[in-house]
Amino acid sequence: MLKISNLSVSVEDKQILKDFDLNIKPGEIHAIMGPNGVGKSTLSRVLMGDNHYKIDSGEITFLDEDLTKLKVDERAKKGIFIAYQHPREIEGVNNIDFLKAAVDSKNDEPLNLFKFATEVENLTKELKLKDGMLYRNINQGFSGGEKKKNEILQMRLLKPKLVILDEIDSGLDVDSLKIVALSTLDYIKENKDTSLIIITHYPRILEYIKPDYVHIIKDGKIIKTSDASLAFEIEKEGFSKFSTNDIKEKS
Amino acid sequence: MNILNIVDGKELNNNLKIKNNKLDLEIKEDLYIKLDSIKDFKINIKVKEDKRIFLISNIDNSKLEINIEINKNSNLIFNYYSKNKNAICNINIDLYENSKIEYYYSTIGTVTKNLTINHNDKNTTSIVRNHGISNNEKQEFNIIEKIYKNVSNSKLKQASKIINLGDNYSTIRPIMLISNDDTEATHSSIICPVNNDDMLYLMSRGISYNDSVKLLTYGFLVNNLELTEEEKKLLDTYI
Repeated sequence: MLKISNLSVSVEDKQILKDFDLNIKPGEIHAIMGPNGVGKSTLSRVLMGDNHYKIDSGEITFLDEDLTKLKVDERAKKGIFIAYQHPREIEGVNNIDFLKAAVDSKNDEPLNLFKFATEVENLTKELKLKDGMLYRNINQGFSGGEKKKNEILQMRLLKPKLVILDEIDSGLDVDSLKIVALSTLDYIKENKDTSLIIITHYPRILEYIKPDYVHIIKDGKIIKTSDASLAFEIEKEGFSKFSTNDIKEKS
Repeated sequence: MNILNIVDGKELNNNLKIKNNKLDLEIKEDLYIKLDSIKDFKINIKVKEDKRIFLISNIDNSKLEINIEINKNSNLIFNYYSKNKNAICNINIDLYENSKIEYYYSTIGTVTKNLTINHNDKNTTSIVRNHGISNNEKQEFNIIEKIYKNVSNSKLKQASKIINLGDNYSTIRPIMLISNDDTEATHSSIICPVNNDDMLYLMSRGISYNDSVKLLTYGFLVNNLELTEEEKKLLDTYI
C-alpha cells in the first residue's frame, strides 16, 4: 500500500529524515515511536503533502502511485488521512459545514444529506461528543480530548485507506483515550484493508490497538523494528538504550 | 423588523420619499436596509432607543454617506455587509452620554471606507470590527475615533483584518485621537494572505484549494457579523 524508499526530508535546511525506509501492506498496523524531535511528525506531514517540508531525495508510492506528485487534497481523496497532533482551530468555519464539504469532496456522487446526518449523529454519540460542537467553529473552544475525538469523527466519515494517528493519545484522559482507540479499532475491523500508522511516545494506546510492527526512529531513520513487545520494552527502559548501531530487523 | 429596499434611488417597500438621493430616518424598530445600484447616496439616521440596523450594499462607482446620531442612553448594533466596486463609504457616528455603538463590517470588492466615530459625551463605548476580502482589488479602511477633552470613562475597541487573495495592496489606518486621560482603548490591524495551516487542514480532508478558500472567506466575512437568525436568513438569501 505505502512504500517509502531512501526518503530524506529537510525543513529550512535542517535535515530531519535521512534515507528513511518503510513498507506498509494493506491491513497492517505500524507503531512509530521515538523521542521528541526525531522526525515522527515530519513523516506524517510529508505523507500528507505539507509544503513546509522539502523532500531532498527518495520515493513515496501509495497504491502504486507516486505520492509526491499529488496535491494535499488529492492525497486525501486517494485515501490518506492524518489525525493531527494539534488539530487547527479555524475561526468562522462551522464544523458541520466543514464535515459536509469534506465528505462531499470525497464522493463522486452528490451528498446524501439524510445518510450523512444519520452517520454523523451515530458517530457523535459513539464518540461521546456534544451535539452543539457540530455547529461551532472547527475545534474552537474544544478541550484537548474533544479535538482528538473530532479528528476520529472525520476519519470515520471520510473512510480512508491509510490512517496516520499523530500522537492522538497526547492530552487525552483515560476515558477519552479508550473511546478514541476503540472507535479507531472498530473502523479498522470494518475495513480490513485499511492500514494504520500510530505515532506515539507511549504504549498505552497500543494496549487497545495491537500493532503488527513497532519501529523506533532516531536521527531521522528507523533503527529498530520488532513486534508489539518492543513498545513495552521502551516503556520500561526508555529510548536511550537504542542507538543507530542497532540492526534493524526486516519488517 | 422594517425592511427598506432602495434600488436606483427609490425605496420599493415603504414608499419612503427620497429627495436628492438623501434619506432621513428616525428608527423606531429594528431596520434592514438593502442598497442596490445607487449613485452618491446619503442617509441620516437618528437612534433614540436600543436598536439594530443591518445594511447590505451592492454599489458600483458611487459614494455612500451615512450619518448616525446615537442619543443619550441608547445602543445601536450596526451590521454592514458590502459587495462593492470602486465605492467610497463615509460613515459618521456621533455618540452621546451613556450610548454605545457595536459596528461590524464585512466587505468584498474594492472599497474605501472612512469610518469616523465621535465620542461627544461621557460613558460612551464603541466596538468596531472590520473584515475585508480583497482579490485583485484595493481595500482601504480608515477608522478615526475621537475622544474630546473632558469626555470621561469612554471605551474604544477596534479590530480590522483584510485577507488578500491576490496581488494587490490594501491599507488599514486605525486612528484614535484621544484628548482625555481615562479612556480605555485597544486596536489591532492585520493584512495577510489566507492562513497556510488552515488551508492544509481543510485540504487534508479532500477539500480542493478553491473550496477551502471559499469556506475560509465565507466564514471570515459572515461570522464577523453579529446577526440574529432573521438577519442571517436575509444575508443567506442575498449571498
